[in-house]
Amino acid sequence: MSGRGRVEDYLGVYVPGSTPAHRMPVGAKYLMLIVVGVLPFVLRIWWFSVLCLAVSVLISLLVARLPRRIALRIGIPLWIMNGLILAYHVVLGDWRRGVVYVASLMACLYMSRVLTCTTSADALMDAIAGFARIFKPLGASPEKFALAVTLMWATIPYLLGAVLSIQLTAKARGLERSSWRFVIPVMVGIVGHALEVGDALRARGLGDEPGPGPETRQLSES
Amino acid sequence: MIEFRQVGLTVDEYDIQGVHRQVTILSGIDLRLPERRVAVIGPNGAGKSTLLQMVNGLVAPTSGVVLADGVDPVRDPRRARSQAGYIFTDPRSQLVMSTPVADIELSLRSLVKKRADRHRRALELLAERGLADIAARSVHDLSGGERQMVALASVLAVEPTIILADEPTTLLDLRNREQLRRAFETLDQQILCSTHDLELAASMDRVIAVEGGRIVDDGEPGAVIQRYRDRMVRLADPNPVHR
Repeated sequence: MSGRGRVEDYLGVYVPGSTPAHRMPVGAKYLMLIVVGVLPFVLRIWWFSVLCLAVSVLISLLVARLPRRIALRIGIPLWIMNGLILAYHVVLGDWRRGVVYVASLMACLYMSRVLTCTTSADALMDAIAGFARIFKPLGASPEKFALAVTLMWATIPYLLGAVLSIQLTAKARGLERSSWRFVIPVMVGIVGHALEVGDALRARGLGDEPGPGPETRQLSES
Repeated sequence: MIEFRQVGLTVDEYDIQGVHRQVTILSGIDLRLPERRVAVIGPNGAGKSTLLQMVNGLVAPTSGVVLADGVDPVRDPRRARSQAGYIFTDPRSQLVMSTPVADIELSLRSLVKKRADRHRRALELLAERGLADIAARSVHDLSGGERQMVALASVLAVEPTIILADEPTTLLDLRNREQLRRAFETLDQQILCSTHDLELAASMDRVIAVEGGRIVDDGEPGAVIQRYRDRMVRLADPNPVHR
């Protein structure tokens, strides 16, 4: 599997299925994310954060039935970050706060994964467009807004892949220690990719305003 | 049918000292293309891709008119884009969603209102191209050939009448080139394809050679390709005295 593929595992790419989590409306999943993943940050009660973390693990494994590799893997950098957060608060004499931050962060991550792993991109776009419809009287285009958010999400693996690719190129030229040198080629690559995606969207007519015309014609087989 | 009526394109360019000059990308392009499959060949920078981009309005000519099935892409770009699908050289730029099925569903959003119908249709389209097994795989994990076939399925999803393919086999291995060439043969749409792949060009109904922004040859594939090959061999000769 490519580096990008592994990056996508961490982000939580849609896993087709028919579990209760897959069948649940997107709105209910967002509500679950808010209650289990966001509320602990607001309440800041250590045992509640731990409880939410346990609930998020149970939802991931039993309700969404995600493979453990996809549901629970967080990678070494996040383990290190969690360890540093916990150590920092223990040293300051308030271990409870450390537990709140670490457990809440993990619960939020796992619940986000449940949302993205059990909801197709198309369903997510529908949900985002549905939410953005309230801004329509102000001139907003819900479909464009949904497309922009989805594209932003879909581009993250590409961006991380671009950094890895430039690092490899630099390593091949013996420049692996000059990490600051990566910035400009990565930026150039990202801008180039954005232009290409812009062209692709334009070529596919995805940025065009909907309205009467060929876009509204019926497909012959649908 | 695609038509170019005295089409030209000049662009402003500034050198490193800021001195302005006008560069001609295309000039005097006058073509009527009723054939079902047409290839455009020529060296790098000849203007092949620009010619294609004009058909669905990605680039507007500075003189003349382009018509795609009677539609002027400058006046009605939305309609032009809906009837002329575009396949890019590198499908990684074209596939904007993370899985093939999601990308085709995106193409179908403005045409099929119900999500379940979109999903069903997307799976059908992938199955028609023999891609059912990779429907839910990450596009980053697909081979170049699989990506290009998904890009083709994604373009076909909106049922265009014209397919514009910009060097579609450049990044493909021999097997995938052959697969794409066969796919082109089975399509009902008119295909206008720019390419360096002379085997692909030879399989078309008509070949147009473009050099320096002008049409230098046009006609039956075998003869045009042979003359083009001869010209390129002469140009590559390091010792022209012995020509």
